[in-house]
Amino acid sequence: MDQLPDDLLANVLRRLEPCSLAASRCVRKAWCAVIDTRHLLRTDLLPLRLDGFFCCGQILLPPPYFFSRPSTARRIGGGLDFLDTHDHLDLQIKDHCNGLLLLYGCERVVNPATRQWTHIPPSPHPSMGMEDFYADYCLAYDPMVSPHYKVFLIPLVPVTLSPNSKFKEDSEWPSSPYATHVFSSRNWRWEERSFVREGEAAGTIADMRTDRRPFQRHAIYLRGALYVHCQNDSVMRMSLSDDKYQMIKSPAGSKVVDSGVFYLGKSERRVYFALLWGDRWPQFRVWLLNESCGQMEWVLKSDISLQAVVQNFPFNIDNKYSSPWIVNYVNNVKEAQAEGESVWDFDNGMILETKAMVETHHQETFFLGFHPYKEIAFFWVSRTRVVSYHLNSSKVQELGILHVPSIIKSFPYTPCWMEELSGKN
Amino acid sequence: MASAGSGDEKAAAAAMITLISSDNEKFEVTEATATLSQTIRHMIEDGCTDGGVPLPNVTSKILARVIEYCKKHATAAAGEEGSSSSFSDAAFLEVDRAFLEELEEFDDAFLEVDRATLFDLILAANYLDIKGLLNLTCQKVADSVKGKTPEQIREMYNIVNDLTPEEEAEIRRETQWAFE
Repeated sequence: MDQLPDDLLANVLRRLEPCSLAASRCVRKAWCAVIDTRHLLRTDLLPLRLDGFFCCGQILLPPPYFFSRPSTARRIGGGLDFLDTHDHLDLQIKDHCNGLLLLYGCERVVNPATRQWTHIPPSPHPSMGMEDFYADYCLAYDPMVSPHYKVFLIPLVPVTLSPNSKFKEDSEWPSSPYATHVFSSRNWRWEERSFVREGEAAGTIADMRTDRRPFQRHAIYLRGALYVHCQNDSVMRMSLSDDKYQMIKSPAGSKVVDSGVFYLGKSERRVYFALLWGDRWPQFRVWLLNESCGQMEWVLKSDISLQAVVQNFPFNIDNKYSSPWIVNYVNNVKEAQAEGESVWDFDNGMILETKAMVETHHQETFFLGFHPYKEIAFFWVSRTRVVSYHLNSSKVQELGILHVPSIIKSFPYTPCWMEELSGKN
Repeated sequence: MASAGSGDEKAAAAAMITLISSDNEKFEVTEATATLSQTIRHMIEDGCTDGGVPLPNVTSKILARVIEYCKKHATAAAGEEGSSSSFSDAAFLEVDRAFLEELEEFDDAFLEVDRATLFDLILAANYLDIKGLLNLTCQKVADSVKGKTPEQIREMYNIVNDLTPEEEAEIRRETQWAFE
């Protein structure tokens, strides 16, 4: 490769995706110089910055809220008002991945940062004997590795099995092979794809019906694998390179935490599982998935009480908060004063004291998600306020007021500014 | 090139150009083949191809391969223009598709060369300004780098790492997201 002059080396390197460009920068000085002087690696376009949260309320209530700093709200089409539909049902978010959203209405794939969107073809009918296994949608997109995205249809165990179902109540689940349909933006079509299990199943079809609450599951796409939160709080890890899958048991074991809500998330390119539960005061527990040597194992990382957080951030919002984040769909955003803000520093904050005198009641605490690149958890506290909680230092700071009727699903949003959204052409 | 339809084939074939490699080997090619190279096209336009075109940067081994590529793609270009200008019904689209597939197979087989030859082809394609060939060969090298670690890339292309461990660590830190 030494014989190639810089122009030709650049001609080769400019064809690489961001991940390979990052690796190429480390090969030798000349390579790094060619990449840097010609700005071949545009990290500024990649979804590397937490810019806000999408929060979904009950279906038929307002469209998703986009909670962010005012300057971000002006740049990003978080209100999804640039689409050709304003029907609230169309705007519900089925799934998200690295800056792309998949919406309910007509299978729209949307990039709120670039305001680009496309329809993908309607999903195919389920295969024979699977008609009543209504499907969940998972979006897989990693612009560091490829500009193409995939949409997976993940079969969900129905409330009752129909007589012509090919499964019985005591059939093991998930089955092996596990048949899914996958849409690929590269080939622009849906294809059937089967995954073969390694290891044990999660249980039987009947075991899967431990679903006690409005079930809002998340899927994570990381390093070529899709992690799907299953109905009994186990996690299915689907490896897309070899079409195999394995089941990872719930970290809480078989003990069902009745009032708790599990959340599958990612941070620092690792998979996290969170459990928020508790009656008087909310408790928060975090596990980290240890994948070394192919042994999938949950390791307890944090176990904290949010009593002090709830006590210090009551429903009463008269007390002062710093540089507030705002909810996008309130129209007066545009009038928000231009601030000299750049990036929110989540590392600030203070350590809160628990109060002996009970001044507030635990209204409701909702876990909004993990910071994608730092060990920080975000909560919606007392139904009004958003706070960050640093898992290592226990420092807490308030982001702003999020005064909405309800949140049933939320995720951190990292904008992707890559221009080309793969669509039909 | 637009005149290379069936009626003009004889006339096109008559216009032959002689290419002379760095080791003084002579290659007779049709003008349609030679003008896939923008460099040669300009020389023809300037009327300075009498007595042959000397190509001091290209060896006979590489020139032979480049001509092989140009011949195939010149025919393809002629075929495409012929069909699209006269017919556009399904049968002809089908023929076009088959032809494109054949061309793709040709390109794949053409790229089955050792690394040294591949780099020589890139240099020749650049010098002769043959866009298609430059694209094809650069993409082939890029595909070989895709998904590899810095160590694997160095090993594959015998590249000596001239970064100190500290410098390399710093460069990695700048794009920490790309490394596990």
